Amino acid sequence: MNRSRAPYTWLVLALTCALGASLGLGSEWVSPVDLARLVLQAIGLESVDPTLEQDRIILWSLRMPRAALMALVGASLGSSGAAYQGLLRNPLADPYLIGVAPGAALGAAIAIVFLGPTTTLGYMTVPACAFVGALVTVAVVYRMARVGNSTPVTTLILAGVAVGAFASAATSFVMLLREDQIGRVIYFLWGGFGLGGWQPVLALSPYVCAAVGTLILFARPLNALQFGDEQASQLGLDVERLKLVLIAAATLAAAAAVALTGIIGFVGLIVPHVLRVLAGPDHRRLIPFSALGGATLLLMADTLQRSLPILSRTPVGVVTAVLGAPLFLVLLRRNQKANW
Amino acid sequence: MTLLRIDSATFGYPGRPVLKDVTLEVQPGEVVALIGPNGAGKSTLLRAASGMLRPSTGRILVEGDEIASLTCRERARRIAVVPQAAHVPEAFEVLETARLGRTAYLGWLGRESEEDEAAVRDAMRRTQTQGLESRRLGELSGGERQLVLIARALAQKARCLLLDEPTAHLDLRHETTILKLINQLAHEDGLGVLIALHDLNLAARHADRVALLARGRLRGLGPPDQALTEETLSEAYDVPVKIFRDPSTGSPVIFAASR
Ligand SMILES: Nc1ncnc2c1ncn2[C@@H]1O[C@H](COP(=O)(O)OP(=O)(O)OP(=O)(O)O)[C@@H](O)[C@H]1O
Ligand SMILES: [Mg+2]
Repeated sequence: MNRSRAPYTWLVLALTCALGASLGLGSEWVSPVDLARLVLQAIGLESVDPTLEQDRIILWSLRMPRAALMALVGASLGSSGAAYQGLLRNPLADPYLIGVAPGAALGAAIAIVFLGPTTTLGYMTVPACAFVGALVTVAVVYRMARVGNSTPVTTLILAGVAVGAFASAATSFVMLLREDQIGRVIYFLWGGFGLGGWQPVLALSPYVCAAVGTLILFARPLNALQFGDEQASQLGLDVERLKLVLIAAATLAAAAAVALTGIIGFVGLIVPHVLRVLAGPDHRRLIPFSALGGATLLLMADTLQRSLPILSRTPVGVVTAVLGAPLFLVLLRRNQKANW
Repeated sequence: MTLLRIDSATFGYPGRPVLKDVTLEVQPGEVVALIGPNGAGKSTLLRAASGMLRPSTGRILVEGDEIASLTCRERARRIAVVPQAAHVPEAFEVLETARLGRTAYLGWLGRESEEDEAAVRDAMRRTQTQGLESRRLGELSGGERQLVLIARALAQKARCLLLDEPTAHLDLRHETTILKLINQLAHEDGLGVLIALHDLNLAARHADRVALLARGRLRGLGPPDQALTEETLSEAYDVPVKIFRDPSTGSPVIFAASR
C-alpha cells in the first residue's frame, strides 16, 4: 500500500491542534502560552505561578478530563467503525448497525425507568446497564446470524437491523411505561450524564486500550478478510474465531463509549470512510488513523459546542453530525475511485 | 507421498448432492485436470479438497492427514487455492495481495520476516507480476489479476496447488503463460496440481492426467489420450464429440460435431 508516513504526521498535528483548542477555548479563554506554562508547571519544569491559579483549576479539573474523555470516546468510535466496515465489508456499517446503540439505549432506558436513580451511585448504574445492553444485543445478533457454523455478512447485517429495530421499539415501550421519566432517558441518549472529572476517563481507558489494541493487532487478518470468508480461510485464517474477536473488540470499544457519553452518531461512520478515501484500504493504517481522526473530530465538536453560546444546549452528537455530514457528502461526490 | 487423496468421498450442498463416491489422488510432480460440463461439480470438488466443504462420506487426506484435523494455518501451508472468478477488493494493491499468501506463516504481531519477503518476491517473479507491484487490483486486466492470485498462492509455499479455471476469459498469450507456469511448477518444482479446466483441448495438452466429472460421478481418470475418448465425452457432454490427432504434436484435438 501507499506506505507514506504523511497521514500520521497530519493526523497527529490535527489532534494536537484540536486538543489545544479544546483546552484553551470555552467560557473562559486560556491562552496557548498560559497552557504551555501550566503544563510545564505541572511536570515541575517551571516554578508554580500563583496568578495562574484559576486557569490551573479550569485546566486540570475541568478541561483536561473533558478533553481526555472526548478523545477516548472519539478514538473508540472511529476505530470500531473502521473495524465494522472492514468486517462487514459494508461502507454503511458503523458501531450502531449491528445493534450496539439500540441495545445500549434499551439498557439505559431500563435502568433509568425501573431503578429511577437519584444518587450519584445510582446514576453510575445507567452506563453499566447500557454497556450490558449493547453486549447482550450484539451477542443475540451474532447467534441469530449464524447459519450452520458460519456467520455470513449479509445475515449479520440483517440480524443487526432487525434486533436493533426490536430494541428501539422496546426502548419506546419502556419509556412510555413511565412518562415522567421520558425526559431523563432522552437526555442520556443525547449525551450521557455530562459526568465530569477524571473518574469516567479512568473508567473508560482500560476498555479503550484493550479494544483498540486488539483491533490494531488483528488489522492484517482483517485485510485478508476483504477477499471474502472462503479466501481468507484458504489463506490460513480461522475465520469464525477472527470475526468473533473483531466483533467483540469493536463492540467493547463502542459500548464503552455509549455507556459514558450516550449516543454520538456519525463519528464511527464518517471518520473511517474519509480516511479510507485519503489513505487507502489497509487496516493496519486505517484503524490507528481512524482512532486519531475520531479523537480529533470529537474534540472539535465538543469545543465548538462549549464555546458557541447558541450550541450550549445542543448535544455533542448533533454537533458531530452537523460537522461530519457535509464533509462526508463532499467526499462521496468527489471520489469516484473504488476504495474497497 | 501422495499430496492429496480423495477417498471414496461423497459431497454436495444441503439438499443437493453433487458428487458421489469420488476417488482421486494427486502425486507430487503431476498436473491433474478436472473436466466436465458446467455444474458437474469441478468447483465443488476443489472446495472439498481445500477443506471448505466436508464430505458426507469418505475421506480427504492431505499429505496423509485428514483435512478436517488440520488447523487452518497448517492446511494453508499444505494446500494453496486459486479460486474461480474470485472476489477481490479493488482498492488493494498487488504487492499487499501477494503478501497475504504468507498469512499462515506470520507470528501474532504480523510482521513479515526476510523469508516471507523472499517467498513473495519469488512468487511475483515466477508469475511476472513484479512490474505490477503498486497497481490496484481494480485497475488490472482479468489476466493480470489471475496472475496476481496465482502469485499469492505460490507465496503460500504449499506443495499442493488447486486452481479453478485459471484461464477462463484469458487471451491466448496469458492462457499459455499460465499453463506453462503450472507445468513448470509441477514438473520442475515437484508441486502437485489439481486444476479445473473448461477447455478440453487445454486439458488434453497440458495435463498429465484428466479426471472427467459428469452426472454426479467420476466418469473417467487417466492420461488424456486414454481417458478422453469420443464415446465417454459424447456421453458426458451430451453432444457428439469428435477427436483428431494434431499431426505436428500428436496431441488430441477435440470438438463438438454438429448433429
Ligand atoms: N453454494 C452452493 N449451494 C448450493 N448448490 C450449489 C452451490 N454451489 C454450487 N452448487 C451446485 O452444485 C453443482 C455443482 O456446481 P459446481 O460449481 O461445482 O460446478 P462446476 O463443475 O464448477 O461448474 P462450472 O463449469 O460452471 O464452473 C451445481 O448444480 C450447482 O448448482
Ligand atoms: Mg466451477
